[in-house]
Amino acid sequence: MIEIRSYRTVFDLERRVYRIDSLRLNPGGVPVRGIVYFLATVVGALILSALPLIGAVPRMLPWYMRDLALPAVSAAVLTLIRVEGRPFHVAALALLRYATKPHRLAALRPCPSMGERWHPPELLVLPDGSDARLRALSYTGPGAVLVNVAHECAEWRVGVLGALARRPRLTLRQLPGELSPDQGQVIALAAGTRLRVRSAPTAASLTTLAHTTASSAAASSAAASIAPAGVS
Amino acid sequence: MRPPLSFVYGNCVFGADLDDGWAGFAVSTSSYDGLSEDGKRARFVELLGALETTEADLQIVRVSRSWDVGRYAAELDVELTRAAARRTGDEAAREADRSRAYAGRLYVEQHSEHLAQVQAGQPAVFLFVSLRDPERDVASYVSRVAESHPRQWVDLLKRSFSLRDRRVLSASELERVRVRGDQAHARLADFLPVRPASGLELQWLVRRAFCRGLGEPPVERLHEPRALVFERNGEAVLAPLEGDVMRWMDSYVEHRGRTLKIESELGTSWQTQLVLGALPEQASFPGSRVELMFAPVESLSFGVDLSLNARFLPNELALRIARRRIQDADQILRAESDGDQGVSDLGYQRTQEARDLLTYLQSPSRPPLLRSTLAIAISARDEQQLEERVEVCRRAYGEIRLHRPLGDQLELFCQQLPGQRTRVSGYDDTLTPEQVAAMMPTAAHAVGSRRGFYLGHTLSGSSRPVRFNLREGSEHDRNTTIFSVGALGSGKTTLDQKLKYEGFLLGARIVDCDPKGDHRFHLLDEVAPHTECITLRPDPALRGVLDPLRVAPEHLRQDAAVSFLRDLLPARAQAAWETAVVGAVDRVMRRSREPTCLEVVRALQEGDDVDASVGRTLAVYAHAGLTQLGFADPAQRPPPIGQSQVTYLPIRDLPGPEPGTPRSEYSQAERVGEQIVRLIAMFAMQILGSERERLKLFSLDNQL
Repeated sequence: MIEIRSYRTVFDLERRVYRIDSLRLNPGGVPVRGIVYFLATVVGALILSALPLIGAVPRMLPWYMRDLALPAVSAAVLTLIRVEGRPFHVAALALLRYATKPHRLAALRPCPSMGERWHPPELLVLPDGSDARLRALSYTGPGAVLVNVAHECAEWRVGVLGALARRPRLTLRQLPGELSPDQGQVIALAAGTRLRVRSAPTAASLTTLAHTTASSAAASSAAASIAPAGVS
Repeated sequence: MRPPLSFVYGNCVFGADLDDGWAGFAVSTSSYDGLSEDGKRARFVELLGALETTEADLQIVRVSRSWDVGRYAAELDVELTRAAARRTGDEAAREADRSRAYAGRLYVEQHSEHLAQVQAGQPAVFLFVSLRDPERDVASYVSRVAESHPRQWVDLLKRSFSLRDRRVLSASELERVRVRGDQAHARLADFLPVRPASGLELQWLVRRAFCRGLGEPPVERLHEPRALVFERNGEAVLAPLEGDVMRWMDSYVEHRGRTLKIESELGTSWQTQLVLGALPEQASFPGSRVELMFAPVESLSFGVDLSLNARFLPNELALRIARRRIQDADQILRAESDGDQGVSDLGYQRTQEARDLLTYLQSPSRPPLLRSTLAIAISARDEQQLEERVEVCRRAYGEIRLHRPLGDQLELFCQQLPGQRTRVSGYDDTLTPEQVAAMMPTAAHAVGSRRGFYLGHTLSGSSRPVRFNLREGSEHDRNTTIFSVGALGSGKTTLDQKLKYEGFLLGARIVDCDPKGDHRFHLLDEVAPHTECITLRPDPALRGVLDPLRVAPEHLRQDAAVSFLRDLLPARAQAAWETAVVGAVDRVMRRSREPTCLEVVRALQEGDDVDASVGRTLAVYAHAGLTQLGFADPAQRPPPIGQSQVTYLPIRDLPGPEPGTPRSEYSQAERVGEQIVRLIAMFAMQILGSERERLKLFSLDNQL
């Protein structure tokens, strides 16, 4: 026979406060965990009573009940109980995790409940510039735009309010029925300058030469091809 | 929730991060319950050695694999087909073989139906060893760094401060992981029968977790998780395709507080996870109180999965912890002693135990500690069945409480997957390696043959099916005798007939000796047409059927004849009589090409006075009673025996000694009975002596 010993009691010790300076507390000591519970409950009660509407209920209680007696009783009870073999705070944290995390998973990733309608996520389309017509796009500099079609470009004054409203400084519109010029026109955009291209029904080509600012709003509009480097 | 697995490469499993590599090993289970105390202690020591030698965090997974009924049927189908194809006789013989194979398939089908209803399981044990260094305290860490080469410091610093992508793994790092896995294998193989787990087994372990309680999931045999390989800064880098691993987990999981409802490929599996509470303070090994991964699990009539996730605390760290605990315990004791009520029992006991722990850790073997959590996964087909099983499982663990944490079920579910650490807090217990080894995760009721027909099941709660291969002894050059012993009515004759029937289905040549006349095997519809019945009775027509000079193997004939004839002589016969018998047998064997015992009697009668007296005595036996079966007339040809597949030899009223009677106290009749049994055995050996490749069975149902 081999005696198999467990040293659980060595590791499973609970720290207790027996005296504070010369003040002796109760004979069995006060668990440190209980003191933490007490302080947490006091803080919780204070926050709760400071809240509008819901705070009216704790405010109706006398201060010694709200800030002393109830937290003390709660702390004592919470220290005594063990939820599924664990201290209260560990079990409460598990419950909190359970409450905040998704309950339905597919391939261990969150997913909608069974039977709910499935919607595809938003699709991002990046045209490569070979479309039959000029697509609407919005692009914010720094960068350069090479326009290979006959067009009309208008420049606008944008004030503070306009900038907040994200109004474009330049608007570009294709001239319908006009032949494409032999050479394209390069429009250089300073940092923050916003260009809006209005869509046209005819074929066109537009290439943007950009210093690839990923933060640019061009990608969000997603209506023209943006060559990240090189000159055409 | 982060995916619990990111990549699998060979037997290496990577947890949520690619720097959390584990090596997986399949551990063979073996029978434990029937071992002697020394045998059990030897198993304990093996496990203890394996735990201490790993020097890394580890996970022991014991799962209940469904007994593969389909495989059983397929294997036997092959055997029956092979047995039917062996004969190359005439059309009638081939037809008989075909009908026998058909009967065999029906028989196996009945077994399969029964086994499918029973839903038997068998344990499979896997050991995962972390390939990361175990956690150390600061002093040990600094010491370790000081011991290493300055170049390794630079590497360490680079690794610590480099902004590397956690989704990629360099080829050199993967190779390092593989080498560490091999080192872990080498260490474990010194103690346990382990082999690296295959990718298929790892896939099975993951996929079956979602189908618990429903059966075994189909496993894609050719699927292996892949990785994109590319070059970065002149180094080969892998980006594992996480989706390849995640597709193994492609089931819908609904977390319901204390229960998981999983829509898997085999249907809806209801699962719950329990966690083991405090272990007994003191218990004896061997004993069910400490064999927590064997005894309670095997007592259950349904399969449960266990996972022990342990953090390895090296001896240095464990010592520091123990010293701190001594200080804490002393401090509490002092504080208690200052109080009005004085020192509590627990406070005093704690100081003693803390010192005992320190002594234990300072022992010459320098043992580590294992901070462990043991989780149990229970599954069922519906919610009500699940609740019932939880109660049964709690009863099986008796005094040890099983907690069912609310809200942590999903974490515990993931904890059961390969290569995982403890994922829930509040349940870990610091155990000694002895405590973990005593849990006996590798113990099982592994009895019976790997092949063969279904014989029955173990008497444990798990009712594990037992197979029995009639050819096992001869195939492995081991004893082929099957000795069945039991009280009256315990089923020896039924077992004997079952084995004979299975042998018959496999085309075996069978001799069935029935001294009690209660065998019915030869009357079965499919057996009867292939049976010859030779009733051994005092019939002159059968005289000489058992003549030892005819039926015994050639090299034993003389001894067998002398032994037979000598036992027929009176108990107080003179020594000269025995000499006369020996001389007569010798003379007859020299002069006759086909000697018989009747010739020996005649030779004795022709001799001197002593010989003639012996001859006269033996002549009486040669013409009366059962003994006349041993005296063949050389002029008469023996009747044709042994032409059918089954030879049934009933023999009634065979005298036999009472159990426990010394041979010297046997009566004359008892000695004769013994000799007849011996002659029958030789006769059977003669019949079965031909066709070396064929399975042959001789059954003797006797009362000892």
